[in-house]
Amino acid sequence: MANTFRLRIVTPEKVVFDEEVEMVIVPGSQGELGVLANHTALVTSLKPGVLKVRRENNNMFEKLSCTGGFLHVLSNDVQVLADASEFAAEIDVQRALRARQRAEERLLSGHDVDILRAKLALERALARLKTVDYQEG
Amino acid sequence: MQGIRDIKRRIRSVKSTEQITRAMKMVAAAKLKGAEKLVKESRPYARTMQNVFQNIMARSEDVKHPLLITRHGNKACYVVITADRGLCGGFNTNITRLAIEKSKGQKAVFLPIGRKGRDYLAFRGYPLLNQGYLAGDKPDVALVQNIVLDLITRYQKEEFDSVYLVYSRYVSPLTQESRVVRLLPAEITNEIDNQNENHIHEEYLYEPSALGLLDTLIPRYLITQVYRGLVENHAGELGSRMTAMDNATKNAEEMIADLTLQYNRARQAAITQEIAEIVGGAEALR
Repeated sequence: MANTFRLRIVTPEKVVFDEEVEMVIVPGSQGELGVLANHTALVTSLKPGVLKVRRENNNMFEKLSCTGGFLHVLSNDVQVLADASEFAAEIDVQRALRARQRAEERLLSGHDVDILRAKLALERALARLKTVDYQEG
Repeated sequence: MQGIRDIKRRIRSVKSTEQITRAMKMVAAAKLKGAEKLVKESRPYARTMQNVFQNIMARSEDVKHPLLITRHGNKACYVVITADRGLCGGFNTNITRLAIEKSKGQKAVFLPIGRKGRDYLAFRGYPLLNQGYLAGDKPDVALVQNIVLDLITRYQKEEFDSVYLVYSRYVSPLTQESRVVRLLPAEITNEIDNQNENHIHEEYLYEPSALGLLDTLIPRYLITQVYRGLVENHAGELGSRMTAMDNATKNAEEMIADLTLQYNRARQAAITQEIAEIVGGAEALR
């Protein structure tokens, strides 16, 4: 039995990824979650984080950012419905850093109206930075 | 016969109109390329979203989510997406008419997205939910999010018992198809993609619970539908404008040809008359 499955990562703007892979690790809302071939049918929501994809005969994981969405698994057809997703190489680090700073300032300023939005923005920025393994300094 | 000068003036005026329609056609054609690309790229997500949603619904009939239950009231809200600008054939009117037609027999309130639809509905005295929104040149996800979340809140407060979306599906530059989709209670069609049909009895694992999942899935599903409506509509508007302006340009060309013929005839007649007069005058002097 083949030990690969088809993985599609789609965002409202475009199809980001559509290939046969061996394994994918997603940031599920209840914790990280690895999916291999022949996984049982599953639906779960995702939180902002890193998607890790491994192709067949390859030890390296390729990383993509994900700013939340859904994972849908049905009979070796795995679909990630992401709000936004980019390959590590496509991420604009400066923009993510600016977004993080903005969100942090907003959280510290304490106007409680936008706390939730600022928190989500912060999570998205952190997810992108984590994807590119950004080191402080 | 019309004076030569009058004909010439008309030719000039039709020519300048033709220039405008030709330019508008070119602009629409250029913009259409971008809009078409957006349609193509946004379809996979919308389709996948639809599939996922329908798959879950087909497999979990026992899940009773408040946004899925049909109410028996007669109050409906119609979200009508049109263009902000006219000069695109019957595009806007088709959509608005369909919305009005559909709403007959219901206690309907309209929420227009796009200036033309708003003006049409407001002018004819149909009840509007608020002053409406502009469709804009680029579909805006944040705007759609606000609209949908607002609609859901109002729906939960039972301000209306159903919500419909009226937009125009983009088929090709020549064809757009006005259609109505029910947003709330979320429509469950029984189409599931064929490749998965033999797995229909497989039970899903939900994480978190099915109900909790639907709480986040349904709003996103609705946002996707409205966003897609905006994207398709924008492409349709440009396609429709391109065709309309192409026709207008052709008509103008035809008119110019006719008028030029008339002009030449009138000019010829004048020359002939003048010669006749000169000849007549010379005869008389003899």
